[in-house]
Amino acid sequence: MKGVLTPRVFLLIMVGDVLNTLAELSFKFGAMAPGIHPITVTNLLQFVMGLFSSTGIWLGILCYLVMLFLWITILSKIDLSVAAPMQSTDYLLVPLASLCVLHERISPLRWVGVVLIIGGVYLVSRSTALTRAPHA
Amino acid sequence: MTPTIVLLVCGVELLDTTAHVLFKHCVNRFDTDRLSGLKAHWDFFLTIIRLPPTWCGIVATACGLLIWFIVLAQADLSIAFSLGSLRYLLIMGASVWLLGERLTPVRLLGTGCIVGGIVCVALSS
Repeated sequence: MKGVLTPRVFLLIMVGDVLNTLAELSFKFGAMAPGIHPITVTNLLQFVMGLFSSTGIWLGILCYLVMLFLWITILSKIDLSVAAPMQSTDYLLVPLASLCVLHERISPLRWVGVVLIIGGVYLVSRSTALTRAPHA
Repeated sequence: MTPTIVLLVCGVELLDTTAHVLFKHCVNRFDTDRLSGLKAHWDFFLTIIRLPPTWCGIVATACGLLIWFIVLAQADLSIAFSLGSLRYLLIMGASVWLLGERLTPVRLLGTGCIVGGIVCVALSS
Protein backbone atom coordinates (compact mmCIF):
# COMPACT_ATOMS: atom_id res chain seq x y z
CA MET A 1 0.00 0.00 0.00
CA LYS A 2 1.34 3.43 -0.98
CA GLY A 3 0.69 6.80 0.69
CA VAL A 4 -2.34 9.09 0.43
CA LEU A 5 -3.05 11.43 -2.47
CA THR A 6 -1.22 14.71 -1.69
CA PRO A 7 -1.86 18.03 -3.54
CA ARG A 8 1.55 17.65 -5.24
CA VAL A 9 0.72 14.17 -6.59
CA PHE A 10 -2.73 15.47 -7.62
CA LEU A 11 -1.02 18.29 -9.55
CA LEU A 12 1.30 15.78 -11.27
CA ILE A 13 -1.74 13.72 -12.34
CA MET A 14 -3.46 16.87 -13.71
CA VAL A 15 -0.32 17.84 -15.68
CA GLY A 16 -0.28 14.26 -17.03
CA ASP A 17 -3.98 14.58 -18.02
CA VAL A 18 -3.36 17.82 -19.94
CA LEU A 19 -0.35 16.19 -21.68
CA ASN A 20 -2.51 13.16 -22.48
CA THR A 21 -5.16 15.40 -24.05
CA LEU A 22 -2.46 17.16 -26.11
CA ALA A 23 -1.09 13.75 -27.18
CA GLU A 24 -4.59 12.52 -28.17
CA LEU A 25 -5.23 15.63 -30.29
CA SER A 26 -1.77 15.39 -31.90
CA PHE A 27 -2.36 11.71 -32.70
CA LYS A 28 -5.80 12.47 -34.12
CA PHE A 29 -4.36 15.18 -36.39
CA GLY A 30 -1.49 12.87 -37.39
CA ALA A 31 -3.70 9.82 -37.99
CA MET A 32 -6.45 11.82 -39.75
CA ALA A 33 -4.17 13.12 -42.47
CA PRO A 34 -3.45 9.84 -44.33
CA GLY A 35 -6.68 7.90 -43.46
CA ILE A 36 -7.42 4.22 -44.33
CA HIS A 37 -10.20 3.58 -46.88
CA PRO A 38 -10.87 0.66 -47.05
CA ILE A 39 -8.95 -1.37 -44.41
CA THR A 40 -6.64 -3.68 -46.42
CA VAL A 41 -3.08 -4.93 -45.70
CA THR A 42 -1.58 -2.62 -48.38
CA ASN A 43 -3.50 0.42 -47.11
CA LEU A 44 -2.55 -0.39 -43.49
CA LEU A 45 1.16 -0.60 -44.40
CA GLN A 46 0.95 2.71 -46.31
CA PHE A 47 -0.87 4.23 -43.33
CA VAL A 48 1.80 3.09 -40.82
CA MET A 49 4.63 4.35 -43.08
CA GLY A 50 2.80 7.68 -43.47
CA LEU A 51 2.46 8.03 -39.67
CA PHE A 52 6.20 8.35 -39.17
CA SER A 53 6.42 11.36 -41.48
CA SER A 54 3.68 13.13 -39.50
CA THR A 55 4.63 15.95 -37.11
CA GLY A 56 1.47 15.32 -35.05
CA ILE A 57 2.50 11.72 -34.31
CA TRP A 58 6.01 12.76 -33.16
CA LEU A 59 4.56 15.54 -30.99
CA GLY A 60 2.22 12.98 -29.41
CA ILE A 61 5.09 10.53 -28.80
CA LEU A 62 7.10 13.34 -27.13
CA CYS A 63 4.11 14.00 -24.81
CA TYR A 64 4.00 10.24 -24.06
CA LEU A 65 7.70 10.17 -23.11
CA VAL A 66 7.25 13.04 -20.63
CA MET A 67 4.12 11.29 -19.32
CA LEU A 68 6.11 8.06 -18.76
CA PHE A 69 8.44 9.92 -16.36
CA LEU A 70 5.44 11.57 -14.62
CA TRP A 71 3.61 8.23 -14.41
CA ILE A 72 6.55 6.36 -12.82
CA THR A 73 6.85 9.22 -10.29
CA ILE A 74 3.09 9.08 -9.56
CA LEU A 75 3.16 5.26 -9.17
CA SER A 76 6.03 5.59 -6.67
CA LYS A 77 3.70 7.70 -4.48
CA ILE A 78 0.24 6.08 -4.76
CA ASP A 79 -1.55 2.82 -5.68
CA LEU A 80 -2.41 2.03 -9.31
CA SER A 81 -6.12 1.81 -8.38
CA VAL A 82 -5.95 5.42 -7.13
CA ALA A 83 -3.80 6.80 -9.94
CA ALA A 84 -5.75 5.26 -12.85
CA PRO A 85 -9.24 6.61 -11.92
CA MET A 86 -7.72 10.02 -11.20
CA GLN A 87 -7.04 10.29 -14.93
CA SER A 88 -10.79 10.80 -15.38
CA THR A 89 -10.46 14.50 -16.22
CA ASP A 90 -9.39 13.28 -19.67
CA TYR A 91 -13.04 12.44 -20.22
CA LEU A 92 -13.90 16.09 -19.76
CA LEU A 93 -10.85 17.57 -21.51
CA VAL A 94 -10.92 15.38 -24.64
CA PRO A 95 -14.62 15.90 -25.57
CA LEU A 96 -14.16 19.64 -24.87
CA ALA A 97 -11.04 19.72 -27.02
CA SER A 98 -12.82 17.70 -29.75
CA LEU A 99 -15.64 20.25 -29.63
CA CYS A 100 -13.41 23.36 -29.69
CA VAL A 101 -10.48 22.27 -31.88
CA LEU A 102 -11.81 19.47 -34.11
CA HIS A 103 -15.42 20.78 -34.24
CA GLU A 104 -16.83 17.29 -33.64
CA ARG A 105 -20.52 17.13 -32.65
CA ILE A 106 -21.18 15.85 -29.10
CA SER A 107 -24.81 14.79 -28.41
CA PRO A 108 -26.57 15.24 -25.01
CA LEU A 109 -26.57 11.44 -24.44
CA ARG A 110 -22.83 11.37 -24.96
CA TRP A 111 -22.45 14.16 -22.38
CA VAL A 112 -24.56 12.05 -19.94
CA GLY A 113 -22.15 9.17 -20.59
CA VAL A 114 -19.14 11.42 -19.95
CA VAL A 115 -20.67 12.66 -16.64
CA LEU A 116 -21.45 9.04 -15.55
CA ILE A 117 -17.88 7.97 -16.35
CA ILE A 118 -16.45 10.87 -14.33
CA GLY A 119 -18.82 10.08 -11.40
CA GLY A 120 -17.84 6.42 -11.60
CA VAL A 121 -14.11 7.01 -11.56
CA TYR A 122 -14.55 9.48 -8.67
CA LEU A 123 -16.35 6.77 -6.63
CA VAL A 124 -13.66 4.22 -7.52
CA SER A 125 -10.87 6.50 -6.29
CA ARG A 126 -12.94 7.46 -3.19
CA SER A 127 -13.44 3.76 -2.37
CA THR A 128 -9.69 3.32 -2.16
CA ALA A 129 -9.45 6.16 0.36
CA LEU A 130 -12.28 4.54 2.39
CA THR A 131 -10.56 1.15 2.51
CA ARG A 132 -7.29 2.77 3.53
CA ALA A 133 -8.75 4.96 6.33
CA PRO A 134 -9.03 2.26 9.08
CA HIS A 135 -5.37 1.33 8.58
CA ALA A 136 -4.09 4.91 8.54
CA MET B 1 -18.74 2.69 -34.77
CA THR B 2 -18.20 -0.81 -36.24
CA PRO B 3 -17.57 -4.07 -34.30
CA THR B 4 -14.00 -4.00 -35.69
CA ILE B 5 -13.36 -0.63 -34.02
CA VAL B 6 -14.82 -1.90 -30.71
CA LEU B 7 -12.53 -4.98 -30.90
CA LEU B 8 -9.51 -2.80 -31.71
CA VAL B 9 -10.25 -0.47 -28.75
CA CYS B 10 -10.56 -3.56 -26.46
CA GLY B 11 -7.15 -4.72 -27.74
CA VAL B 12 -5.63 -1.29 -27.05
CA GLU B 13 -7.02 -1.29 -23.49
CA LEU B 14 -5.74 -4.84 -22.81
CA LEU B 15 -2.25 -3.77 -23.92
CA ASP B 16 -2.54 -0.56 -21.89
CA THR B 17 -3.58 -2.48 -18.75
CA THR B 18 -0.68 -4.91 -19.22
CA ALA B 19 1.72 -1.96 -19.45
CA HIS B 20 0.34 -0.29 -16.28
CA VAL B 21 0.52 -3.53 -14.27
CA LEU B 22 4.12 -4.11 -15.44
CA PHE B 23 5.13 -0.51 -14.54
CA LYS B 24 3.49 -0.77 -11.12
CA HIS B 25 5.02 -4.22 -10.56
CA CYS B 26 8.49 -2.73 -11.17
CA VAL B 27 7.85 0.32 -8.94
CA ASN B 28 6.56 -1.96 -6.13
CA ARG B 29 9.92 -3.76 -6.02
CA PHE B 30 11.48 -0.68 -4.39
CA ASP B 31 10.92 1.23 -1.16
CA THR B 32 9.78 4.58 -2.58
CA ASP B 33 8.39 6.14 0.62
CA ARG B 34 11.47 8.28 1.26
CA LEU B 35 11.94 9.40 -2.36
CA SER B 36 11.82 13.20 -2.67
CA GLY B 37 13.10 15.86 -5.03
CA LEU B 38 13.41 15.91 -8.83
CA LYS B 39 16.93 14.40 -8.86
CA ALA B 40 15.91 11.39 -6.72
CA HIS B 41 12.81 10.79 -8.89
CA TRP B 42 14.82 11.09 -12.10
CA ASP B 43 17.37 8.54 -10.78
CA PHE B 44 14.50 6.27 -9.73
CA PHE B 45 12.96 6.65 -13.22
CA LEU B 46 16.31 5.67 -14.81
CA THR B 47 16.46 2.59 -12.56
CA ILE B 48 12.88 1.60 -13.48
CA ILE B 49 13.30 2.02 -17.25
CA ARG B 50 16.33 -0.32 -17.19
CA LEU B 51 14.21 -3.24 -15.91
CA PRO B 52 13.06 -5.83 -18.51
CA PRO B 53 9.35 -5.80 -17.39
CA THR B 54 9.33 -2.01 -17.94
CA TRP B 55 10.56 -2.58 -21.49
CA CYS B 56 7.79 -5.15 -22.01
CA GLY B 57 5.36 -2.47 -20.78
CA ILE B 58 6.79 0.10 -23.20
CA VAL B 59 6.50 -2.40 -26.09
CA ALA B 60 2.88 -3.11 -25.05
CA THR B 61 2.19 0.66 -25.02
CA ALA B 62 3.81 1.07 -28.46
CA CYS B 63 1.73 -1.81 -29.92
CA GLY B 64 -1.38 -0.29 -28.31
CA LEU B 65 -0.52 3.11 -29.82
CA LEU B 66 -0.15 1.64 -33.32
CA ILE B 67 -3.62 0.04 -33.06
CA TRP B 68 -4.92 3.29 -31.52
CA PHE B 69 -3.74 5.22 -34.64
CA ILE B 70 -5.83 2.86 -36.81
CA VAL B 71 -8.83 3.53 -34.50
CA LEU B 72 -8.30 7.31 -34.67
CA ALA B 73 -8.22 7.23 -38.47
CA GLN B 74 -11.69 5.61 -38.44
CA ALA B 75 -13.70 7.06 -35.54
CA ASP B 76 -14.63 10.34 -33.84
CA LEU B 77 -12.04 11.04 -31.12
CA SER B 78 -14.65 11.54 -28.39
CA ILE B 79 -16.36 8.16 -29.08
CA ALA B 80 -13.11 6.21 -29.36
CA PHE B 81 -11.74 7.85 -26.23
CA SER B 82 -14.90 7.28 -24.16
CA LEU B 83 -14.97 3.60 -25.17
CA GLY B 84 -11.39 3.51 -23.91
CA SER B 85 -12.75 3.87 -20.35
CA LEU B 86 -12.92 0.06 -20.46
CA ARG B 87 -9.40 0.36 -19.12
CA TYR B 88 -10.79 1.18 -15.65
CA LEU B 89 -12.57 -2.19 -15.52
CA LEU B 90 -9.46 -3.98 -16.76
CA ILE B 91 -7.09 -2.10 -14.42
CA MET B 92 -9.43 -2.68 -11.45
CA GLY B 93 -9.52 -6.42 -12.21
CA ALA B 94 -5.76 -6.57 -12.69
CA SER B 95 -5.15 -4.54 -9.49
CA VAL B 96 -7.24 -7.05 -7.50
CA TRP B 97 -5.88 -10.25 -9.06
CA LEU B 98 -2.29 -9.35 -9.78
CA LEU B 99 -1.41 -6.56 -7.33
CA GLY B 100 -3.56 -7.68 -4.36
CA GLU B 101 -5.87 -4.63 -4.09
CA ARG B 102 -9.29 -4.86 -2.38
CA LEU B 103 -12.75 -4.58 -4.02
CA THR B 104 -15.43 -2.65 -2.02
CA PRO B 105 -19.16 -1.90 -2.67
CA VAL B 106 -18.33 1.78 -3.43
CA ARG B 107 -15.74 0.69 -5.97
CA LEU B 108 -18.28 -1.69 -7.56
CA LEU B 109 -20.83 1.17 -7.70
CA GLY B 110 -18.20 3.37 -9.34
CA THR B 111 -17.47 0.61 -11.84
CA GLY B 112 -21.23 0.35 -12.56
CA CYS B 113 -21.31 4.10 -13.32
CA ILE B 114 -18.36 3.70 -15.68
CA VAL B 115 -20.10 0.83 -17.52
CA GLY B 116 -23.30 2.94 -17.71
CA GLY B 117 -21.27 5.83 -19.09
CA ILE B 118 -19.67 3.60 -21.72
CA VAL B 119 -23.12 2.31 -22.80
CA CYS B 120 -24.46 5.90 -23.11
CA VAL B 121 -21.47 6.93 -25.21
CA ALA B 122 -21.81 3.83 -27.44
CA LEU B 123 -25.59 4.40 -27.90
CA SER B 124 -25.10 8.08 -28.78
CA SER B 125 -23.05 7.27 -31.90
